[in-house]
Amino acid sequence: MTKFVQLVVAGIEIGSIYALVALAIVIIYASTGLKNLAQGEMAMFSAFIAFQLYTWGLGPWLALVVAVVITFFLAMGLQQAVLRPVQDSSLLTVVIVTLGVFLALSSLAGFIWGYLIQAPPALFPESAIEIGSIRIGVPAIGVFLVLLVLAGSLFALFQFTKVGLAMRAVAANKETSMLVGVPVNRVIMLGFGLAASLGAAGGIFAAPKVFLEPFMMLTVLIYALASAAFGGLDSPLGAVIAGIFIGVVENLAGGYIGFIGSDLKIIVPLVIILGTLIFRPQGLLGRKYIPRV
Amino acid sequence: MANMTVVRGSSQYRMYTAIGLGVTLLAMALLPVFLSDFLTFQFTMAFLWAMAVLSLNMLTGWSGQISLGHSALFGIGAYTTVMLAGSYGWNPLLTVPMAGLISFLFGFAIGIPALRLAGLYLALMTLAIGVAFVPLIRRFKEYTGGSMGVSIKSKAFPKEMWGLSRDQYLYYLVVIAGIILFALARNLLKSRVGRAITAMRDNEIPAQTMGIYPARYKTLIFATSAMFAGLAGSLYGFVIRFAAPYSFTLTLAITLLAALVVGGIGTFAGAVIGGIFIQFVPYYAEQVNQGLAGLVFGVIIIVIMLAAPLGFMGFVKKWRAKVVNVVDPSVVRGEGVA
Repeated sequence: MTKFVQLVVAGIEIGSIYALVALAIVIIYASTGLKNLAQGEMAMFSAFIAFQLYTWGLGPWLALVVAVVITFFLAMGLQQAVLRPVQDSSLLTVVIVTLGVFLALSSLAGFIWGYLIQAPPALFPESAIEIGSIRIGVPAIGVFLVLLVLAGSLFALFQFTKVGLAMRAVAANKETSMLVGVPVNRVIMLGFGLAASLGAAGGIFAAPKVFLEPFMMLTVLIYALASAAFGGLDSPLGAVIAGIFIGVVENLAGGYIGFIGSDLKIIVPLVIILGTLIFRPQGLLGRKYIPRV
Repeated sequence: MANMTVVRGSSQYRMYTAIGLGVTLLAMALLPVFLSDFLTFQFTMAFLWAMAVLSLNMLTGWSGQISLGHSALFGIGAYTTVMLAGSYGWNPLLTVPMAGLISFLFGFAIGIPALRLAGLYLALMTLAIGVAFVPLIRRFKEYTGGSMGVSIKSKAFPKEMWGLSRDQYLYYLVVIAGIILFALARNLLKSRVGRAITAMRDNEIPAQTMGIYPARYKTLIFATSAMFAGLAGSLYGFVIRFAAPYSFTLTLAITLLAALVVGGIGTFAGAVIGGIFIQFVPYYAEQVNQGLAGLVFGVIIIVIMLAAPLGFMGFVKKWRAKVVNVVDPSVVRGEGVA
């Protein structure tokens, strides 16, 4: 029982990180129809920025905030320069361009910060709360709370503000929004910046766990994509639930199924993507898409 | 501007194509005579990549499906050859068809669920396969040698054969295999099957109305593409005599996609140009700095996608149009431009 709860807690911790990156992917997809395969690498880059700020003497939390803000502006620049020209092109073009960003960012990070594994500072104390025989680490609670706060404020932004309304309008129908005077391009840019900031938070919280190096987000990206597909590509709530679910399942599978162990955890998202596509292609909470001729 | 008009498919058109092809083949045949063994080896690798790019091209260019798992399929081919020839003492040449068969079966297995996966979802699933390949290879280290990889003893390939050095005869072997593969791919794609998958790519529902059964053709083209990737991988194992998991990471899949874009999606010559590009450009970029290669690569892909989505072959067609005006037979018959 103790082992079970322990694994679930660890799963929630890593699942919160998947959820943050998945949320970023879903927000961009819902508002622009763009599937950003470079989301993980962007988050990795942000984690390096935070680390750089930290080595320059900023506190870990201040470094996090500054890095997230920097990411927000960098991402908007990237969107305007590279992704805006292709956002209405074919899927192939979009995938190839985002993969180009993927390659460029990972090698740029390697070029600037090297390929050695760095150990960034922990954001939460390494202590644990003990309930009976169960130990719950403070980082696990912390990351989960961060996810809830960020997802909650995002929800509030979408539901209760004018900007949020504009974003939902653009997501629902770009042409009509343009006609009623929504500055569509600026709204998309803002959405992209926000999503990248969320991803950045995911990357920075992931860094102490998976260690900082240019390829750190590769597996996280797969889990995040699996979460996004499982939760429904256009459903932010689905992404959060699916992210945590996948984190927990992955840990339980690694802990209880000897064949999987710690090496083959990567099979879990593969099976989940496959299962989703076969049994419920629109995902848990996604909207079904019916093609028209 | 063009001062000459040639009808596609006419005897004149065929003659020019044959001359172009003949000159290219002659140049390829004479290459090792004039180049050092080192450069010959570089071209061997370039043509190997060309075959891998071709396999991806069949899927992406002609049928519009995106695969990020071709690194894994290429790796399966390489591992098949290196394991069979290295650990089980097979004749290396016999492992090549075996690698083709195994990767065909893998492709078939991936292709069946892939039927449901339009566009992005196929990209996601193949991406997961591409990423899962390395841990899987490491997991079964009893057979695959884990991170250390497996190898074929060098005595399996004599230093000299038929008066050619090892680099030279491997070059000719790869070139001949490449010619066979390209010819097979061309015939397949110019046939009824090729027209069917292109029709599906352009618009699936009307294609279905015309009696094309998507499930059959999609699985077929995915499995065939996988087989080609496996054959290319097998020859890679043949030439390198070594297979380790880190040669077949996601980066390889992205690199192949990049080569496809640089050379020109949906063209045969583009696959060769792409192969040459990925062999030589990163090599020289790495001389400058290890981190630079990927950056240069990424930026080139983005710029080409934004500025010249048809890649190198797009430029070739533009230049050609200044000299020769190639028209379809329907234009000549007065049916107007389709």
